[in-house]
Amino acid sequence: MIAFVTLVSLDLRELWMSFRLLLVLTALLGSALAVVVASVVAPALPGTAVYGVALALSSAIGAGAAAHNVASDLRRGPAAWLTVRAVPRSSLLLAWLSAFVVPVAAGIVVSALIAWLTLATAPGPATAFGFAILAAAAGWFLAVALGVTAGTLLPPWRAASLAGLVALGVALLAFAVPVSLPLPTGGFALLASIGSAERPIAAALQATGAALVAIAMLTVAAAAFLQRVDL
Amino acid sequence: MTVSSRDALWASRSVRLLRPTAVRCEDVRRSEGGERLLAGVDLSVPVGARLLIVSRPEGSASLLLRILAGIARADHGRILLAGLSRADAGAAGWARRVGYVGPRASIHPWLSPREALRLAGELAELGGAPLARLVDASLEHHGLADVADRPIRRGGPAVAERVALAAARLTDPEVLLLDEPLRAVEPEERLRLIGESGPRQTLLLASRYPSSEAGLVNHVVMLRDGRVTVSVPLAELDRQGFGLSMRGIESLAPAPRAG
Repeated sequence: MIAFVTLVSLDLRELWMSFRLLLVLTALLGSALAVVVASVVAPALPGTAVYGVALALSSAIGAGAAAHNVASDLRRGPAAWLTVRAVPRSSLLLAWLSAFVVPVAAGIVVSALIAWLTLATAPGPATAFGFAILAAAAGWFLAVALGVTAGTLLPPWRAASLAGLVALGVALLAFAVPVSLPLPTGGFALLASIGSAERPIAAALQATGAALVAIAMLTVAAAAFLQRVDL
Repeated sequence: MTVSSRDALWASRSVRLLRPTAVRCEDVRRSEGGERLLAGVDLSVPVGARLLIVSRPEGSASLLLRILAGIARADHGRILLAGLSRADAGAAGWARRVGYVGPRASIHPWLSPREALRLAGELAELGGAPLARLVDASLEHHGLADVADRPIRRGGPAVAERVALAAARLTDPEVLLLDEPLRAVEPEERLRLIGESGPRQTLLLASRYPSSEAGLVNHVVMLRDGRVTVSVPLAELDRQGFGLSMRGIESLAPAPRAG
């Protein structure tokens, strides 16, 4: 346990030192800023729609940052240095994922608070908005898991580009299908249509569940890739 | 008066006679891009040996060390290091008993040497005041005391290589795997740093420049086309008047079979 905490804190410091943490937080807070800007520039646009689309776009940045982080660790040497010291590769993987959890969760909470306070009229009950944020956060973590998986397979920039594009595609796909479909990235679309959605809490929980299942599957796949790769 | 220590035990006459095995490879194979870099390597290295491994193609020796260190996979084969197989080694056992220094296995350069050594110690389940003392002694010994609290990247490759060696040596491992180590360090200092190991420590050193390893090794192994083709004591090379050179080592290898 102590070793795992050490690994996560090491990865958090690496995110900070490499400016990837700044990039992720800027992407999340930028989503809220988009709502602020839209409320001034184009007040006719529904604020929640702007926020949902902005969060979906920003998740591609999260995927790219995660992919670059993992691929760099694997190819520059820290992963090998730790593996030589009997750190299991699965622990490296979980530490990479965990290092994103705290900053992304904090960034989404602050971002959602700013967005909520900026909206001129409440799009519905705060509870429904909260659950939609939970589903969107799960969609964001799915993008991070996608990035981590790509990072175990490809060199840094190729992994970041591929993960960013795939995450963007998966996030935008949610806007093309009905909100009632339990897509892992459905939280973004639900947030965009929170005012008109039927049973928003149920839809949010279904999207969150689908995202968690997808994250688990990606993590298992990444662990399998990581066992095979040379460090 | 009798002085007892781990080194005294390993230096004892009975252990020298029994020659226990520190590293054992059985039929280790690995192909890359259709090329067989390791084609069934069998190797048994006794405790306390100082083994130089050279190879044609050059990458094979380095690959074998990376497989031994657990950072590259073998397609086939069995490996035992210090009596442990990678699969059944606990963190404290493996991390303390096997050390590896390679050209790429380096920690984040924004860490300071002290932080890197503390991290290595904590991962080997050391801690508290004993670890702090161990880190201080290691920093001093490896010439890192002056730069102990500055980021490694500021010191350049020589500091990074010293930190890598110091971290690998921190737990006094029984097997030390060195892959082209300390190339950025002055030759005399390099000899001093690598050359210091007790009789119980087994050293495997992969090098493309055998002549630069004079004084560090006492046995030479050559891998050609993925197999061990030469395994001789250094004295044998000297006796035949070849010296520690690639040409000298190759001249002891049997001629490749036609076809």
